[in-house]
Amino acid sequence: MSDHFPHIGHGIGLRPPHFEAVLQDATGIDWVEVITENFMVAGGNPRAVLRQIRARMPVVLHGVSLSLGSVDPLDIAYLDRLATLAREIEPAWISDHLCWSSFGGHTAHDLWPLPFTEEALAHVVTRVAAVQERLGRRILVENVSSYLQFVDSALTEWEFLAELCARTDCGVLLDVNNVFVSAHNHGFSARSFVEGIPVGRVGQIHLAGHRDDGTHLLDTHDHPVCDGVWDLYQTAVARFGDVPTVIERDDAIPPLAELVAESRKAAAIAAQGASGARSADYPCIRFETGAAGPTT
Amino acid sequence: MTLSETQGLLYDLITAPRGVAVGLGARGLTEGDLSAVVRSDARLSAVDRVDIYANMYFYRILDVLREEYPRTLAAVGEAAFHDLITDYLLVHRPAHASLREVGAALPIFLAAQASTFGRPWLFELARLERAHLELFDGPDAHPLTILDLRSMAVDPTELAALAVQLVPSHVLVTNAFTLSPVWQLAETRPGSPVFAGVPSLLPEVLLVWRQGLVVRHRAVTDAAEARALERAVPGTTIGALCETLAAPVSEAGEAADAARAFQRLAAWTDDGLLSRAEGPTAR
Repeated sequence: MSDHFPHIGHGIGLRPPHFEAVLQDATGIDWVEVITENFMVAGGNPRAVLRQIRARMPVVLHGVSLSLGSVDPLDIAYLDRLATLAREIEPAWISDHLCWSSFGGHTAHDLWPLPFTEEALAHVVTRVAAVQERLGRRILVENVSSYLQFVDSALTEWEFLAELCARTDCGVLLDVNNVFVSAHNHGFSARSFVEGIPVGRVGQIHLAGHRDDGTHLLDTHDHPVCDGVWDLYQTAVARFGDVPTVIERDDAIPPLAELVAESRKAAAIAAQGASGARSADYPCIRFETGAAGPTT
Repeated sequence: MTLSETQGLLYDLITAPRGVAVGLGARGLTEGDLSAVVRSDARLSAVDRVDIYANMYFYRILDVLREEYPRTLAAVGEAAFHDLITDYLLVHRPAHASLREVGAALPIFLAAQASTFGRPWLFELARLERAHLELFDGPDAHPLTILDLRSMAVDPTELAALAVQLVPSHVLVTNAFTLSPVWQLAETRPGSPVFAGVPSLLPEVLLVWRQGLVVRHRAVTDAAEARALERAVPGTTIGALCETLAAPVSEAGEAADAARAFQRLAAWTDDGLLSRAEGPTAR
């Protein structure tokens, strides 16, 4: 089982509007994170682009459908498709969310929060262990933005995550924006969250923007990273070091240069705040040509 | 409350078609009951908090289907499309890990709803949009080129025996209506009301396929070509296809029929439609 999450620098979440631009000029982008499900297809442009990108830089597969906290059975067919994609793309790592998104055989296509109870913890531990076993590698589990908390919760979210890591040896994809949003929505200390995650467990960090809806913050990924999230990021890198960081944008997607500028800002903050940047060294893949037909 | 009970309650409330409060009542529960499960505070009640998820659930799917079915949306209008998707999700709840599959059954659903909109062609329009979407990331292939055929034409017997098939990312769609006017109107004038270009009740067969990375479609108007397309499955050969394509037309004569067959075959290769047969050699 692959036992580490390599330091591969700083990157962006790659979305279709930027496919062409990244293929033309990837200056300033050390690696990209892609939404796994968008590439679990037979062929065509998505797979062609992914292969071209992977031939040039590391790629991380970030899923939204593992539904790690659901009481539904694990979707084995999904896991097998993921494993097949991973064999082809050789991602630096695979990640998904600490949430549930399916019930009764139906899928919500959203990231719903869990009650932080011993029962839920034991359940998620079993499933993360099963996923890691099936994929033959450790995964990163991301904290989600949330808009509700459960009365029954006996643990904080960071205690839950720390215990999950301890019991399964998984890592954490720390979404700093999600910490910021959830802390605001539930009135807990964002700094306490960051300080509650064990040093050495964080393999990746997410940065993104959100919207203020008055009564709550909504994790919309449609704005630049705000000052409060940058401040919290400084706190995070001071604790966890220069962790590979991605800028996410899913709506109101700006020109690539704006995302790259945010990514370089993250790299600068991480280099300053951490005790020393680690070097990026991750091999690219040479694919057989022609399998995907013409490439744009 | 167990984890399973908690998830069952929330799933029902978040996906309740008439909102969280109504969904709560339908389960015989009060807001107080929900507050015993979900924390509330001065800013937001427990119902308000679940409602945030309910809105996200519906509007995320609606946004995806608006992008996947732009012409169907234009045909029925924003408000009716919103209601259509509300009704659709009651019957076809998402059950696949990929959001791309959420709208897979919309054409079938529309087939049963056509009378509601007074546009019986709507189902065919949605089906064509879905075909484009599915072929966009369908299986890849290595299409034969005209150079491939020319190099083999040195030995006509070898060329005739070449086992071929249509590339996998293709589909033949038979419509009762001629959709081209509404399709083109939406393409050339996005945002225009598609229903301004009502299709005529004239049947058509459309060939939809992916050429390289681009999905295209065109009408199949030639009877011989229609037959050849149906026969271009694994097991056929260039020779058999040529025979089908060269079916006599009026008094044109054998030479003209053969020339027409080769022209059509050349057009297929230009379009990236033909590939070598996969699997066992065809005979």
